Amino acid sequence: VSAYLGFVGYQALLGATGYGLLVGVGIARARLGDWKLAGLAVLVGWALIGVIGSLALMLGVRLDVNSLIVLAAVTAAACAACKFVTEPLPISPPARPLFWLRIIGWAGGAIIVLAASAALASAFTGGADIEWDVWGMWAPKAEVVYYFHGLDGAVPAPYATYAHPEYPPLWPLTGAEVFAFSGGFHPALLPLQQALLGVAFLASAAALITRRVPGWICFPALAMIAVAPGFWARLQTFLPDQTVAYAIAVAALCGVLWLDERRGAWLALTWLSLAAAALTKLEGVTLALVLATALLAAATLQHGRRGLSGLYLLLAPAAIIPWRVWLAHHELPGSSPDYDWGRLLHPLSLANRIERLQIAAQHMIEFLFRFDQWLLVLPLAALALALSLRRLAVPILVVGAWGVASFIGLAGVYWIGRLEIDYYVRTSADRVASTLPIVLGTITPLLLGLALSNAATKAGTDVGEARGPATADDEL
Amino acid sequence: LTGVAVGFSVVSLACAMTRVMPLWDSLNATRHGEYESLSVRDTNFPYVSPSCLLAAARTIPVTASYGIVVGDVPPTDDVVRRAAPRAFQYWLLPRLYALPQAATWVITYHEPSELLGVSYTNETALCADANIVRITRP
Repeated sequence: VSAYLGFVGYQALLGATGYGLLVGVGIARARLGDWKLAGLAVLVGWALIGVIGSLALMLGVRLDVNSLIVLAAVTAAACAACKFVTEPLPISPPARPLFWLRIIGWAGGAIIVLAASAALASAFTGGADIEWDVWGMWAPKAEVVYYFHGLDGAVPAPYATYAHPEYPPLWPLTGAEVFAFSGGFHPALLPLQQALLGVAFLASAAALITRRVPGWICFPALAMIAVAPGFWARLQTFLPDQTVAYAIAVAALCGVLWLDERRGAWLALTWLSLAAAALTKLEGVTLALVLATALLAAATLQHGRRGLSGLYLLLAPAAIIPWRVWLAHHELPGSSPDYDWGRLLHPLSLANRIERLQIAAQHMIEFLFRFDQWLLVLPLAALALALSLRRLAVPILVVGAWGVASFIGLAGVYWIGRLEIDYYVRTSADRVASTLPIVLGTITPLLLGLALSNAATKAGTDVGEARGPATADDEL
Repeated sequence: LTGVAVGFSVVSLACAMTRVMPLWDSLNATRHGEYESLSVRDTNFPYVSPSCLLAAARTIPVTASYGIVVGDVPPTDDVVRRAAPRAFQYWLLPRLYALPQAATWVITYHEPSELLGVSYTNETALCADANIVRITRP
């Protein structure tokens, strides 16, 4: 029981820290109505403690329960104090839609609740994760951080003795935090932690999207993602691939809100989510860098020089640089031995290996469009965004560019890989590629709702379903 | 565009509903399943028996170092040969893993201790598959 109490306390700490940030940037208003932001608070708290904690670990700071509590309390208080210099974000909830549209929204919401309940119940009663990479690499790394309170706690540094020492420390730190708060090495709690982050992600997406978009568009789309077998199957595994997808998806949502409203609060949340993705897994660096670049390009196209404030976003994936310094300081490789970036400089070598790219791309495309994995998430997203393009060209093109560039980047790793291609693709392509439908499926209802709002504004009618465009008092 | 949004929502909802029954069954299975304690669920592991891992953790002091030797008496499956050392490493932290030549304790998995080629004391059976010895050095 005490292990569970500590675990619940940890979730409360994440929520309180994230809530401090949401209050500080003006998204939350310290009112009862903020309960809708609970999921976002937990996810943002995880990202905030994770990013700061990871940087602290790299600097050699020892992290245990007490120091984590102090870190969270100081961070939450400092963030909340920003409330005195920022303005609360205006909220204009969508007007009540027609009754039958509300029914569609409620049905979608009910399915999300069912999916979340089943995931949590299954994770609560299930055993420790027996995925090879979890018990062979991620969980032991988390144990090292837990037992030695850092990365350098013993000689030889045990963190580096496990596979892929080049992977950044945020995910092992998350596991270590679970162990620290539950009072011991309890690997059965790790799937529950992942399931909670998954539920927090769904709640975050719902909270962010429904600020501008009616529930009848938002909830069915999120319900389809929540129950898609490709998403569901990884809701309870402690592999961090899906967690990277959560962070990138929240960054994309906040990034699009920033493009539309130009509020600093959205820029801050985008930055934090991108940094968390970059420090969770190396794939997160690429995905975050592509998204930051795409958002910056969109901001510059839409807002000219004022959009250059988005340059700040490029610093988020750069959060990986201190980790590269740590690796170099410990004479460890900075990239995976499974692939060789140097091959990109040798066109002949690449041409000789083109078959690898074809195999990987074909496998990924087949996986992403399989109904028994992702239902109709990607075809529906592509169709809806294509039909909305005329009303919201820049953000939709940006999201589309991110999707294409990310696909090429992920498939490209197999092109320059050293492992036998069939084995490499079979063991990793599905979970890595899952980021694409999660991000694109999550962002589609927001873009569709904004396009609908633009269309209504242009027609000079007030359908009362969404708020108007940014006002003159924009902060950025 | 409103028509597109309605179509998008209706098709999304229809797709999601195809998965409602499996989710409901999953929830029900959990509700009617037998609840096991956290300590039992922690030991859920396919490659090395939980009793073996727990016995090793009881035997080796937390501050000691240990090594693992996997042999072929009886023959060891290739997957288990790769998995067994990692499984013990996963379970035995914060005890430090070391090469058998440098370790204070050595776990012999499908390997007679006599074949280690070093002197030892305190040979203990961890389970049917493994023993543990304490190495004595001059």
